[in-house]
Order: sequence, then structure tokens, then C-alpha cells
Amino acid sequence: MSGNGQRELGEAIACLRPHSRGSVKVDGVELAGKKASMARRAGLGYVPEERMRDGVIGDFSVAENLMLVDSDKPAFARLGFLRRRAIRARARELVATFDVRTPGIDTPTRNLSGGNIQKLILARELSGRPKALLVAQPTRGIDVVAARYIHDRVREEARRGTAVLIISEDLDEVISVSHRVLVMYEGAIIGEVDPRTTSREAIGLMMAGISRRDGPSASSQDASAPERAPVARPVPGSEQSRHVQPFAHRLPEAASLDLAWEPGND
Amino acid sequence: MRGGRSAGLPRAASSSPWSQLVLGWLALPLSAFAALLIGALLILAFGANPVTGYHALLSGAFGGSYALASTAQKAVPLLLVAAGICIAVRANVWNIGGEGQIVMGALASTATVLAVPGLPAFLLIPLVVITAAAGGAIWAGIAGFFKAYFNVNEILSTIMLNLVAVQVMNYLLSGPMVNKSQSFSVTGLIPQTKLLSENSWLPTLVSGTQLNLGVVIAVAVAVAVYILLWRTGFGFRTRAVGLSTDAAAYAGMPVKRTMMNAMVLSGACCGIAGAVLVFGSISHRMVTDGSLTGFTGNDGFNGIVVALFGGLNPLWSILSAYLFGGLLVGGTAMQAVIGVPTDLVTTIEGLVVIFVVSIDYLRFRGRRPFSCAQANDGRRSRLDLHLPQDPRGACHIGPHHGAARGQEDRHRAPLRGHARAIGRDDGGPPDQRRKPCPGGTHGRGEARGPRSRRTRRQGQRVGARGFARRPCRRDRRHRWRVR
Repeated sequence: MSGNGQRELGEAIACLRPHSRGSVKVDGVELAGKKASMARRAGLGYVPEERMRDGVIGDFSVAENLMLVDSDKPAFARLGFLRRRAIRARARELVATFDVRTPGIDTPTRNLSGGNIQKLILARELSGRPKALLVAQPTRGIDVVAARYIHDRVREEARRGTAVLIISEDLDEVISVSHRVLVMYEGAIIGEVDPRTTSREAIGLMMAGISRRDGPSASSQDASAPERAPVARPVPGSEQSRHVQPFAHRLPEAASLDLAWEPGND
Repeated sequence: MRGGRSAGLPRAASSSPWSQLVLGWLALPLSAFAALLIGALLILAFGANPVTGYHALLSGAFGGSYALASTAQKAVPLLLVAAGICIAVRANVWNIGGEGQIVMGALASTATVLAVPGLPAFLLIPLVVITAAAGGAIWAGIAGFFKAYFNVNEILSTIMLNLVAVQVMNYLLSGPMVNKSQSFSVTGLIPQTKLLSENSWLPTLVSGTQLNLGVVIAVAVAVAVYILLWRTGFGFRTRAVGLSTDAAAYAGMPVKRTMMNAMVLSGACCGIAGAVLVFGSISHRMVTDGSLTGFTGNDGFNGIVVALFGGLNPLWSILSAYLFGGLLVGGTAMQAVIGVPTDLVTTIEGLVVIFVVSIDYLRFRGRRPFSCAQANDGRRSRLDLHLPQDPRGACHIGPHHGAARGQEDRHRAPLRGHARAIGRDDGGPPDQRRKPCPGGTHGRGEARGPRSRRTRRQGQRVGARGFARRPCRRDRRHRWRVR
């Protein structure tokens, strides 16, 4: 359920929000207290929740948005000058690969539909070969076909060994794509479940703040019980969120996204 | 020019080719024309003949090689400032401190020449340009730093720094930098420097006119700014920050640093304008009458107008600067011929700004993520009429009509937006229900299927018994409010 810290968690992982404590590691690289550019350099891809506000610049062309995060990479800028031919070639390639429906790569991005913008963002983030991918609300407000396509791409990415963390409010989505689900309630992870063995009702109760361990009557008094709070996991492909699921099949070479924090009310 | 004009002028709001043309390409010429038209009315109000006046203005600005050269000379500082404004505004920081930066650039370069007057021209002139740029950059950098890191409003701080700059200038020109060898007058020393080293003078390009190297410098700077903004990674980041700080931060760009750098570069351009004003002048010395305008001729503000009129594109600003230079030069001629004050030209300039900004507003409103119907709670203004029609064709879905034609509605596409919100009389307290229109016959006698607005506008409708009926008053009132 939104409003329980999911958005803040996502932004904190992407280093768009200052960290007060805890740690975020991408494949062992500590990101706590770092800048967003460093998170990107460490291999974190991030599909933001507010795609029109954060993910793309509406007045920029499709090609420009596809290189939004790469303006200082040598592949696209030589001695500070943009390599327009390389940029356009890659934009064309990504548009084709990711099936972004656009009249052309010079079209202003605001003219695209939500689903195509989301595919554009996903194309950009995946083209950076991330080690960990954070996807917030991957299919909110998107047509069914595009949503399905996005799910497939994200699953495929997880199969390749990328640690994927999805933050979503869509319970069906969470259950169908995730390997593990972490439920957030009032700013904390209230518990982890396996979506294949857990009923929707059980997850729903957790979303309402009723942890499985608690009886329904003992719901929230021990919301700050210390044993629940620290979540540190060196497992490949871990993550947190209200509903979470890394798809990472436990491949030996799988990258990891590790989060840890201490109990606290920040 | 791809990425230039089109990037400068966001696409027109509506899909209609006409409004696209008017809001896109014709916007600036039209606003200039409208401003000149109002200017003509003002000339009439002064009791003069606007035709004579504008003829004098045109021939004073563009008639003959001397006029053309003077206009170009006047356009040089305007263009330099405009190029700087382009950088700043593209990064969404408003540099209103062009005046102060011009002054600081002029002071820095003048001080350099006073310090090393003996350098040969090929060294001294580049040095002059560089120090002038540095002077302006530092002055703008102060505002940029506080804007970026302490969120101090840059509009206020740059204006305030103008006031500081003029005092610095008055102090330096009457104290440390004053020409001490001038003949003594009753009022004391004139606050001006001595004649500057001849090596620092900007060489004249065409003998017999004022046209000098400044023109080349200004055009080169404008081209460089264009390349910077549209061909480099820095320019890319600058424009990204200007359009959306959120997206730029998300992309890992150094938002604050980019803002500050844009301000610094903007100030550098303005500073160069200061050098041109000193070393391209006829007197070849820096003089102050105690005011900013006395030295800059308002170029720091006029440059903003030039940049806006040039669509915030430095290449279009070349043309725009030349036109505004012509307006200013021609304004003097107009004053001489028909005796209206040159301030009229300032007025016309102001009108141009108002028109350009309002057209920007018109262009912008169509780009809102939600239609006006949603944003304004259903109230539409006439300006929205060019938006695409409801595909269902019928633009009149008054609440009472929806009720009257309940059975027809099944065959229609679902109502959208505001129409859905109010389009059905779904009950409610009986006394609040919309009553059938006293004119009667709504719905029943109407032709089915899409109806063009044209038929509607003619206001005639087929009544139940085949009479042509005028729509009732409520109908007319609501005609455009809901589709």
C-alpha cells in the first residue's frame, strides 16, 4: 500500500535522497552517502516511479532521452563534444530493440504514450548493463501490452543474473513476477514471504500491518520489535520494498543489491 | 539548425496546422508586428505621423552603409548579452544582472590595459577579451553560487549586484583608475580613465564607419554558445537541468554545478560586451556619468529582450540583435524627424516582450498533461476551441440532454472527462435535477450521429415537429462549455 515508505526507499537506494544510516551495496560497492551519479557508476539502473517527472524530459527528443544518463560517457561524448552519429545510431537501435513506438527518434518524448515512455526508460536503463535494477511501479498507468512486454524484459534481465528490485502497488504484478516479496508497512519491512506459497490474503494482512507472526489481535504493538528490523542479506539479488521481488535465480555470477538498515524511525 | 529553432520553440499546442503556424513560426514576427502597431498608435497620440516616423526609423537603421554599420555596432553588445542570457535561461536561471556584468567586464579589461599598455595588439586584444570575460564571470558567479548552493533567488541577487557594480565603477573611475592628468575643472576630476593604449583598440573593419572587430567577436561568441548548448555534453546537461532538475538529478547530473557554470558562462559573455563597449567606442576610454545606463546604454536588459525574441537560440539572436540594434539606432532618427521621444522605442521593445511572453503562455497551455476540462473543472475558454473535438462528434452534452436521451447514449462511446462527471442526470434530490429545457424538444428532434460545429454555430436545430428552432438560452450559454 503506498504511503508506507516505498517511494522514499526507492529514492534512497538510487541515492536521490540523503541517507542517515544503513547501507546500500551494489555488488559489494557501498553507496550510502554517495551521489546518484556514483550509484549509476556502480551499476545501478533505476526506473523511477514518476516517469514524466524524473524518468524523461518531455521536451527532449527520444534520442536525447535515450542518452540522458550517458552525456559524459566516452561512447557518446568525445572531449566534451557529443558524438551525434553514435548517439543517433544507438537511439535507433534501442527504439527497434525495445519496440518503442515513436514516429522517429527526433520526436519530442512528451508525444509518446506512457507505455512507450516506460519502454524508453527501460531501454535506457538496461542498455547501461546494470548489475542491479530498481524498478518502481513498472506498469502503473500503462496499457496491457506494454505492461506485459515490460514484465518480460525485466524477467529476462533477472534471468541473466541482474539483481532486480521491483517496488509495486499492484499485488498481481508482485505475485506473478517476484521470487521474494518483502512487505513494507509504516516505513519498515514487516516481513518477507514467498509469493508461490503465500496467499494473497496473507500478503494483504501484512500490508495492513499485521505480521504473520502476530496473531491478528496482536497487530501493531510490536511494530518496532528489534528482531524484525535489521534486514541485511548477502544473498544475490536481494532487495526490499513494500512488495519486492528480485528475480535473480541464484546464479553463481549473479550480481547483488544489498540493503541494510538499523531500526529507527527515519 | 535542427535542435535550434525547434528546440527553442516548443511545438505548438494544438494539432491544427494553423495554430501550429501561428504559435510556432509566426509567433515572433507577429508579436513584433503587433508591438509596432501599438507603437504607431502611440505616435499618433503624440500628434505625429506614424508612417513618417517608421520611415525615418527604417532609413535611420538600415538605409545606407553607414546606417547599417551603426546598427551592427549597436547590435554587438546586445548580441553578446543575448548569447549569455541564452545559456543562463536554458539552465533555467534568470540572469538579470547583465548590466553589472558588463560593467565588471569593462572594469577588469580596462584595468588590464592600464596595467600592461605596452603589449602588442595581437596579445593585448585577446587578453582584453579574456579578462573582460573573467570579470563578468566572477560577478555572475557570485549570484550563481548562491543560487545553486543556497537557493538564493538569482533574479534578486543579480539585480542587487548591478547596484553594487555601479558603485564599484564610480569608485574606481573617480579614484584608482581616474585620469589624473586632465585639466582641472570646478567640479573636480571627471570620472574617466586616460586614453587607453592604442594597441587595445578594436581595429575598424570598414573604414569610414564604426564597424570594428567587435562584430566578429560577437558573432563568434554566438556561434560558440550555439555549439556549446547543442553539441557538447555540458550543453546537454545545461538544457536538461533547465527543463527538469528532477530528471537531471535522476540521471546523475551535477545539477548545482551545472546551474552555477551556466551563470558563470552567461556572465562571461556579458563581460565581453563590456570590453567591446570600452575598446570599440569612439572615445577609447572608460567614462561614467554615475549611472549604469550611462555606460551600458541598457544593453544588459535589452539583451534579454533580444534573447527572448531570438527564441533563446544564439544563432537566431544574431538576427534578433541586429533588428533591435536597428530599432535603437532608428529610434534616434525617428526622434529627430518627427520629434517623438526615443523612449517610445523602449516602449515598443517592452510590448514585444509582453507579446512574446504571452505567446509562450498560449503555447504552453496546450502542453499540460491534463486537458483544460479536467484542469479547470470543466470551464473552457474560447482559446481551447481549437483543441480536437470529442470524437463522439456531438459537442453538446448538456446534463439535461443526457437524461433526455438516455436510450441513445447506450449506442455511443462512453463519456469522457468532465462530460462523464456531469453528463448524466443520475438522480439526486429531485429539486436539484436539471429540469427539461423550456424550449423543449432537446434530443428528440435532433439529428443523430456526429454533428459539425458549423451547423451548431448557426444555432438552428430541427424541432420535434420539423420547425427550425433556436436553441434555448441555457443551451446557448452552455454550448462550448461541455462537449
